[in-house]
Amino acid sequence: MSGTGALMTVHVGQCGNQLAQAFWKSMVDEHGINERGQTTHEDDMNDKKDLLFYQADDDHYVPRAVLVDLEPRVINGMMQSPNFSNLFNTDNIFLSDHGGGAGNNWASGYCQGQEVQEKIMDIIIREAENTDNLDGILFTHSVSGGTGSGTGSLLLEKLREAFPKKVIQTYSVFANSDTSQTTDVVVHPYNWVLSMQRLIENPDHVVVLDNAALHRLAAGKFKTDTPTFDHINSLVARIMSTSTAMYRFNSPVCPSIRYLDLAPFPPMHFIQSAISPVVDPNENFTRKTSVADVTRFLLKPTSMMVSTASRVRPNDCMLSAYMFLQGQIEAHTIMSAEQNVDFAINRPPFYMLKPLRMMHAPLSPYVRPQYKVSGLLLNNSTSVAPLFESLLSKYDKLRAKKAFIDKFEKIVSGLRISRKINQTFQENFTLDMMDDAVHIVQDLLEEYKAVVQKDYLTRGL
Amino acid sequence: MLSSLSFLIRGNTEELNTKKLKELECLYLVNKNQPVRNDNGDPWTAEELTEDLSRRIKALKLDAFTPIVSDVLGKLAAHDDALHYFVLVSTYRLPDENFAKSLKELGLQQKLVTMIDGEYKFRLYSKPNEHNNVPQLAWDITPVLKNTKVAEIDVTVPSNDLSNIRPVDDWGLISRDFQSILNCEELNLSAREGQPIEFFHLDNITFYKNLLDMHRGISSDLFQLDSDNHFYQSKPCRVEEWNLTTTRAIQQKHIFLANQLSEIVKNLKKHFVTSTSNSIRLLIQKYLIDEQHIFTEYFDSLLGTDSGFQFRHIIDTFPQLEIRSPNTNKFEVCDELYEIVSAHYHVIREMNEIVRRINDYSPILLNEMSFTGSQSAPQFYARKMWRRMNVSLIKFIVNKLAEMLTTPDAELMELLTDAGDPRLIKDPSIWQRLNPLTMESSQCIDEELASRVADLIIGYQFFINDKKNRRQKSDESTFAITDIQDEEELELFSKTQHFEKIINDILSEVDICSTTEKLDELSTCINKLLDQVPTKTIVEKYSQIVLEKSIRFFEFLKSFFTSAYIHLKNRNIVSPSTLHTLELEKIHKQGYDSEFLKTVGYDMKSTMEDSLLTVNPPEPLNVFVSTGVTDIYSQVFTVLNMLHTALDAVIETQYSETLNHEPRLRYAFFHMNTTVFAIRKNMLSLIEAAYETLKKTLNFKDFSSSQSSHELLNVFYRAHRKFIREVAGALMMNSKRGTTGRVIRLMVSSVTQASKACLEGDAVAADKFYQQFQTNLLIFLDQCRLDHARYPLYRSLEIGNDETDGRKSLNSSYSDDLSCRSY
Repeated sequence: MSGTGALMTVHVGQCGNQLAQAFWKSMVDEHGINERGQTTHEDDMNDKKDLLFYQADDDHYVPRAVLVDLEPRVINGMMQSPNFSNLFNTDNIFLSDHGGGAGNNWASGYCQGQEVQEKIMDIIIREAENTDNLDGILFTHSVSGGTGSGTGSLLLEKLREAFPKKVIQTYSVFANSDTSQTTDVVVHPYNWVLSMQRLIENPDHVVVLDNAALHRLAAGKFKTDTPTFDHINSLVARIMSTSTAMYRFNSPVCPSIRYLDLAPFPPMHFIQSAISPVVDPNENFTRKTSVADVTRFLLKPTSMMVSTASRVRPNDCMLSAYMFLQGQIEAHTIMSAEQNVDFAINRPPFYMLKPLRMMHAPLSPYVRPQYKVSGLLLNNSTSVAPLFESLLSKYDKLRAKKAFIDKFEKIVSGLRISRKINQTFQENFTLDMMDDAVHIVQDLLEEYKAVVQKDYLTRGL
Repeated sequence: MLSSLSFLIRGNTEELNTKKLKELECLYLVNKNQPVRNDNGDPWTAEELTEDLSRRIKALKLDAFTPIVSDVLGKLAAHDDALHYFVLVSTYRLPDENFAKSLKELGLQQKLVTMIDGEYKFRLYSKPNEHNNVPQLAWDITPVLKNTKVAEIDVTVPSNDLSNIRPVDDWGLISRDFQSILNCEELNLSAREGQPIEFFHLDNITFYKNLLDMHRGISSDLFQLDSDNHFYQSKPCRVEEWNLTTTRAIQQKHIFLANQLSEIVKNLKKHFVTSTSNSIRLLIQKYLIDEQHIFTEYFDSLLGTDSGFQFRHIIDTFPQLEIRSPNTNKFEVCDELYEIVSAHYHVIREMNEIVRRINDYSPILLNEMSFTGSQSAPQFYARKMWRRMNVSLIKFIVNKLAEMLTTPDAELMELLTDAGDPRLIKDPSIWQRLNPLTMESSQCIDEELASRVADLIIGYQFFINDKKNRRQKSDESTFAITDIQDEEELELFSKTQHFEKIINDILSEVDICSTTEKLDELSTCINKLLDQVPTKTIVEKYSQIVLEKSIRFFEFLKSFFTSAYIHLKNRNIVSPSTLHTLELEKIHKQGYDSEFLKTVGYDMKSTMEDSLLTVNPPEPLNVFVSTGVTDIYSQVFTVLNMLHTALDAVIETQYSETLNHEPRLRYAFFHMNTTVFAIRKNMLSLIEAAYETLKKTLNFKDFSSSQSSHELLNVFYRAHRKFIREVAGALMMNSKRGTTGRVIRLMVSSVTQASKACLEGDAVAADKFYQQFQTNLLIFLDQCRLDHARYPLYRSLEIGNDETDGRKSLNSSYSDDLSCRSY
C-alpha cells in the first residue's frame, strides 16, 4: 500500500466533542471550506481536502468525522451553531437514546457502550468503506469522565479489532488535578486506570493532553486567571492541526500518518506535546519568532504539556520525536537547526541514532498565519512516566479507601438489573478489571524504567 | 635735326626735349641696325620697304591715300635718306589698324583728303605741310616710338637645312646650333634607329583624355589594346613641353596601373552571376557596378563632358583637378590621377577576393571591413569607396532585420548563422537553445546587441510560426497560446508604406557622402529599428505568457519528480512511452498540473529497476529540460522512489508479530526507518532549499522593469540550471555520478528484505539483512564524507555516533576519524 490515505476522526464524550468543535473549526478554515461545505477559495494544488473531508454528490465537502456521546448537550449545541449545522453528516452522529450520559463513570460509559457499540461501529465502518484508502483514525476523548473514558475505551478496543493495521492516534485528555480546578470528577483516577489499560493495548499513539498543564499554559499565556474550555480547546486544536498538517498539505517528506514512527517500542507510545509560541488570540503578537527560538523553547522539558514534566529526571530519554515547524522558514534554517539541537537530547544508551526529526510542515494556503515561525513537538519520552506514577498513586489512595467504589458496582448492578445484561458481560465487568488495569499500567512504568538501561535490547536473552 | 624730326612726326616742333631725344635715338638706331630683315637675314632696302608699304595700303584698301603716302615718302627720299628709311621702318612696324586709323584722321586734318558719301577722296593738288623741306607725316607713327623696340633686328628662323649649321664656330668650339641638335631627343632617336621616327606631340587636354580613357578601358590613338586586351603605347609621345622620356615614364606607370585594373575587373566579371538568391552577392555586384559608373562619371566630369550624371551628388564631393587650365602642374595632376585610379584598383582587388569567396563573408563582417576601410584606407578615394559600401551594408542589414522581425518566412540565414547545436554557442540564451542561431558581432555591433537581436528574431519567428502551425495542426503539440492575433497585423505591417517610411527615416541619417567616425552607426540604426517595429512588444507579450507558464512548469517538475511516486501503485511499471492512463488519472487527482502531466513518459530504455522518465513539454518549454536535466529529474524520481519504497516496507512491519517480543529487532527497524527517513528528508529539504532559491528568482514581478520578459526567460533558464545543479548536489550525484544511487539501492534492498523476513516471521533473516543494511549504510556515509557541504547533514546517521560522550563512529570504515572532523 502506498500513497496518501484518508483520515477519519472519532470524537467521544463531552470533551471529545468539544475538541471536535475546535478541531473542525480550524480544519474548515485551513481548507477554505465554509459552513455549508463549499470551497471559499480556488483550489490550491497542495491542499489535500480529501484527507479529512469527502465530497457529497453535490460536491460539497463533508467532514469524515463520527461524533459519539451518551448525552446530547454538546453535540446538539454544536449542531445548532451556524458553523456546523450544515457541515456534518447527521448519519455520523450517535447520541444515546436515553441521553442520560455516563455520569462520569467509566463503568457506566463502558457498559452503555456495550449496548450501542454495534451501531457506532456500523457508522465508523460504513464511513471507512466509503473511503478508498483509509490510513488512520484520529480519536479524541477524555479519560477522566464517563463517556470519553468508558465508551471511548470500548470503542478503541473495537476499532483495533476492526482496523488491525490502521494507525489509531488518540488525543486523550488526562485530568491530573491536585486541586479541583481542572476536574470536577472525583473518581477520575479510577476512570483513568481503566482507560489507561485500553490506551496501552489499542492505539498506536496516544497524545497525552494533560488538563492541568493545558490550564497552566493557558492561564500563563492567556490574559485570564480562569481559562475557559475554549482556550484549552484551541490549544488542542492547534496540536491536532499542526500534527496533521504534513498530510493535509501534501508534504512529500511525510505524506501519510503511517510514516510517523513515534513509538519504536510499544506500548511506550504516550506522546507529549509542546507548542510555541502561545499567545492570547485577542492580544497583538509583537515578538519576532525565529526557528532557533521556537526550537529552543520546544525542547525545554518544562514546555511539555504534561504537568509532571517539570520534575526533570536526569535519565529521562527521548525515544522518538517529531518537530514540525511552520511558517516562513528556509529549508536551510531547519537543516542547520537540526544539526545544532542534537547535543541537547538525551537518548537511551543503546541508541545509535538521533530520535528527533525536525521538518518543515506546510501551512494552509488560505489562512494568514499568526506567527512567522511556529512549532509543535510530538515527543515520545520516558519523562511522561511521572504523570502516570502520580495518577497511579492517586488511584491507590482512593482504592485503599475504597472510596466511591460502590458507585461503580452500583451502576453496573443497576444496569444489570434494569437492562438484563447477559452473563458474559457481567463476568467481564468486575472490579478485577481495575486490578488488571493497574498491573498493566505498572508494567508500562516498568518498561519506561527499563528502556533507559543499556541492556534493554538484550534483556532476557 | 630735332625740330625737323619733330615736325615730321607731329607737324609742330614744340615738344619736350626728352621725347625728341628718344625719337632721335630711334632714328639713329633704325638707320644703324636696319632692323627689318628678310629670310636670309639681310636688311630690307628702302625700296623693298616702300613696295611692301604699297602692297599693305592696297591690302588695307586705303587706295585713296596712295598719292599722299607716295608724296610724303617722295619728298623725304629727296630730302633725307635717313629720315626716309626711318619712316619706312617705323611704318612697317606700325600695326595695321593704327596705320589705317591715323592715316584717315590726319588726312582729313591736313585736308589732304575729303570725305564724300563716307568715302575718302584725294584732294587734287593738295600738298602735305612742309617745314624746311621736311613734310609732315600724314599718319601717326608715335605708337612704335615709345621705346627702341622698333630698332631691334628681326630674328631669323634658322633653316632646317643641316648644311646651314656649322658644327664648329669661329672659335673652334661646338656651335650653339649644333649643340641643340645633339640634345634633340627625337633626332637622337631617329639617328639611332637609322630612320625617321614618328611621335605624338599632344597638348594637355588630349593627353589627359587619352589617359583617363585608358583607365576606363577605352583605347585611343596613343594607348591601344593588344590581343590580350592590354594597353600599350602605340607611338612615342610628348606632351607640350615634356620630352618623350618624361612623358613615357609617366605613361608607363599609368599603363601598368590601367592594365592591373582592367585585369582585376575582367576577373571580377568572371565571378559575376546573373541570377542568385544570395542577396549579399547581389548587393556586392550592384555596388561594384555602381562604383564602375561613378569612376567613369568622375573622369567625364574632370574632362568637362557634362552629360546628366547619375551620381552627380557623389562626384561633386570629389576633388576637381582643373586639368583644363593651362596653369596646372601636369606632374601633380598625373600623380593625383594615379592615386585615384590606384585607390580604385586596390578596393576593387579586395572586392574581387570577397566576391570569389563570398560565402566566407557575412554582412556583419563586410560591414566591419568597410567601416575600417572608410576610416583607415590611405587614399581619399578608397575611403570614400569603402564608405559607400559601408552605407549600403548598413541599409542592407537594417532592411533584412526589419524583414526578419516582421515576416514569418524571412530568410534568416542571411544575417544569422546556424550553430547546429546550442552547445557550440558560448553562453547561449534560451532562444538560442530553442533554435541555435547566432548573429555575428563586430566592432560596429557589440555582442550584447547582436544576441539581443538574434533572440528577438528567434522569439518572433517562434511565436509567429507556432501560431501558424497551431492553426494547421490544431493539436496541442505546439506552444498553446490561444490569443495570438497580431500575426496577421504584423505580417501586413511589413507591406505598408508606413513601414517603408519608418525604415527610410531610420536610414535617413546615414549619409553616403560624409565620412563618419561613428562606430555605432549600425547599432544606432538597429536600436531605432527595434524601437519602431512592434515586434518587441509582441514578443514581450508572448514571452510573458511563456514566463508564467515556465513558473508553473518548474513547479510541476519539482513537485512531480519529488512526490509523484508516492501516488504510483506499482512503481516499476514499464509502459512504452507514456504513463499508464489509470496511473495518470490517479496522479492527476493529486493535483498535478494536467497540462504538463501529459508530457511525462517512460523512457524506452527503462528497466525493471530503473524507470527512466522523460519529459517532452511543448516548445519553448522543452529547452528547460535537456537530456541531462531530464536525467537528473529522473534520478531524483528513482532515488526518492527507492527510499520511499524502503520506508513503506519498514512501516509494513509495524504490526508484525515477530517484533512483539524482539526489542532488538524493533530497534533495528526503527534504525532503518530513521535512517531512510533522514536521508530522504535531507534530500527533499535540500531540493526544497534549492527550489526556494529558484522561486525567488522566478518572482519576476519584483524585477526591475529594465529587464523584459523576453530577457527574463534567460534569467529563468539559468536559475533553473542552477536549481538542477543543486538538486544533483542534493542527491550527491556530483562527485561520483551514479554511485550514490547504487549504494542507496543496496541499502534499500537490505531494508526491503529485512522487512519481508520480518513479515514472514523469520527474525534471524531479518537480523541478517539488518547487518547488511548497516554495512551499506557505512558505505553510504563514506560517500557522504566526500561531499564537504552536505556531510554535516548525515553525520547524525553515523552508527554509534554520539557526540555527547565523545564516542567515535567505531564501525566507520575510516579508521581515522579525522576525515569526519575536518568538515
